[in-house]
Amino acid sequence: MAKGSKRHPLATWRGPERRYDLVAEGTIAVIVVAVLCIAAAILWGSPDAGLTYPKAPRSPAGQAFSAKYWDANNPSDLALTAVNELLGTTTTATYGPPFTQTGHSQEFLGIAPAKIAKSIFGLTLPVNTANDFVLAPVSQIVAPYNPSVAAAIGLYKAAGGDLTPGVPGSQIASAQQQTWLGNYAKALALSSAKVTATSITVRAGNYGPAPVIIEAELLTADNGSLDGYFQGSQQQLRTNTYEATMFFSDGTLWHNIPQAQGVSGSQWGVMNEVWNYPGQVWLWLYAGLYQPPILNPSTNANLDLDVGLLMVLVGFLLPMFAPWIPGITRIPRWIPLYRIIYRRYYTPSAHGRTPPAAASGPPAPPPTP
Amino acid sequence: MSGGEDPAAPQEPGPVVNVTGTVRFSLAGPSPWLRAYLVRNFPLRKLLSDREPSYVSSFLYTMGVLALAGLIVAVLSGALIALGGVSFWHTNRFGALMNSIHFWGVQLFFLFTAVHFIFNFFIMAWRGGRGWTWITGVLAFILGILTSFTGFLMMTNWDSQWIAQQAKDAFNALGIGAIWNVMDAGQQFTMHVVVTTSLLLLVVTVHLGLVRRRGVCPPPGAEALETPDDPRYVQKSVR
Repeated sequence: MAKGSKRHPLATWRGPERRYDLVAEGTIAVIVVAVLCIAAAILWGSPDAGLTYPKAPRSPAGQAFSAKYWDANNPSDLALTAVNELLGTTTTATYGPPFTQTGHSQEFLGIAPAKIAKSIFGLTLPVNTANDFVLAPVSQIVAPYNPSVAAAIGLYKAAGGDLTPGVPGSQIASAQQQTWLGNYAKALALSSAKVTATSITVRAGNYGPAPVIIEAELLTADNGSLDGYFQGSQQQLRTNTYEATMFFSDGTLWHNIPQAQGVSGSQWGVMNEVWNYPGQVWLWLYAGLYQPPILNPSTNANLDLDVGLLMVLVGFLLPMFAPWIPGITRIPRWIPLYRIIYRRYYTPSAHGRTPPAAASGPPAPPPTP
Repeated sequence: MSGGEDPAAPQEPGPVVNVTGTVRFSLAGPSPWLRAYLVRNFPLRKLLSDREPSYVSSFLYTMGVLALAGLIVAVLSGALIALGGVSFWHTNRFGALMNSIHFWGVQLFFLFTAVHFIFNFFIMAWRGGRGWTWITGVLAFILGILTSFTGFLMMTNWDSQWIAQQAKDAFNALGIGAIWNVMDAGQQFTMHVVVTTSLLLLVVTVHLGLVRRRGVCPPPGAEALETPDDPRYVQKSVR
């Protein structure tokens, strides 16, 4: 770089100055903000509404969605979802990476980042909905103490299907199992079906062992052992409850709650909080990008990828490199708010000189560090 | 930095640090170079200044320090919550109070940061060699969003379940979900308390250092009143 063209890192303002103290200003700012936060915390607290929503049973603060809650409030939804998990037809069973080997991986210009990630890291969160959500917990919790349930599990597994983790949903149930489960799903959907938290009554039909297994599933949900199963493992305690979350989200009740609380995707989703609390307002751009009709939010199978890429482009790169993008840098000139901000400086009488003034005379010698 | 310095620069060592500011980098002994770099670029008279240009008179100039104050409140209250564990604040009154202070600290941090960001855009605060100051500021904003996002994911209640279940689709679509499982509260605890917060504090520290080093950007049209401390260097043309 030629001499004279390089900018020295340090420069000094030669215009009018005034005294201030950086440490004092910072201390006052921290005290003021801390007092504001403490006052707001005492007055309004913070959102921890649990599963409270209009016309719902009372929910204690901080309550999480659980199989027990699901079973108590909508057992038929739980039963039907469990049947569909055995069938391999739920959203989770057909999701694709990182949960199942095949499924719809969202693409942009023919590139599917989820598939690329799978080729590098493998299937990192494999799920077999039939085994992980129904057969394994029932086998572990109920079957050892209930011979009829143990026999039903044995009969069901003898009918085929594939219980390998991550197997595509279409391979989870055999033809025989699909017949049993299809019949049972239809019977559960009839108005004559009676489902309580621990029992299911449907008209007689060819259901194979499905009724015994599903009723056992309800029983484990009712006494809380299904939640214990999801929150633990064979060896360790764990905080990774993705299997439970995926199972719950395959049901209907899971999606009714956020709708009632005003935080569902069509209501700008995650940027909201319950009631009048401010939520993650700073995610307005992310939540807003799910709304424009140009992206066809209701039919676009690649919507999440489109929104994610737009966020990288518009949310991250654009503001970060705004000073180097022609046009963007002209906006403050077109909308000269700085003239209002610096109105006192631009007023000659304010400091006794006519701005903007050029520095006069030779520059001062470089100060010592 | 030293690679571009003028070889004819003054060679008298400083009275305190015994460096000239033009020390060449050496892998065998990088300390003198680092000391010279820091002394040259971050002198204490800049870091702890007691004078400011008279045009710094708008209350909008306090948004940066108020955002920093919000961050400090959030970090201190968050540290107390983290000491209690991932979910104790649901049942402990002290924890609940700390959580509420944490919540409002984060809200104020983003409120002040947003105003700070918009204000600096409209005064074109990137002028005069302040490009990296701008970039680190935006990066801090983005890291702040990631930090708050991971905080919402580790609350161990319905809110965090719902947000995680919704957010996983974008993470999975981008391929990130293979290694960043937003439904794992334990991983989010690490991401929130260790990874994103550390990165945020690092970037904010660099941002503050750059702000102090360059000083406040002069009003448009007054750039010529800001002159290089070393007269052998000239101002670049103003964008």
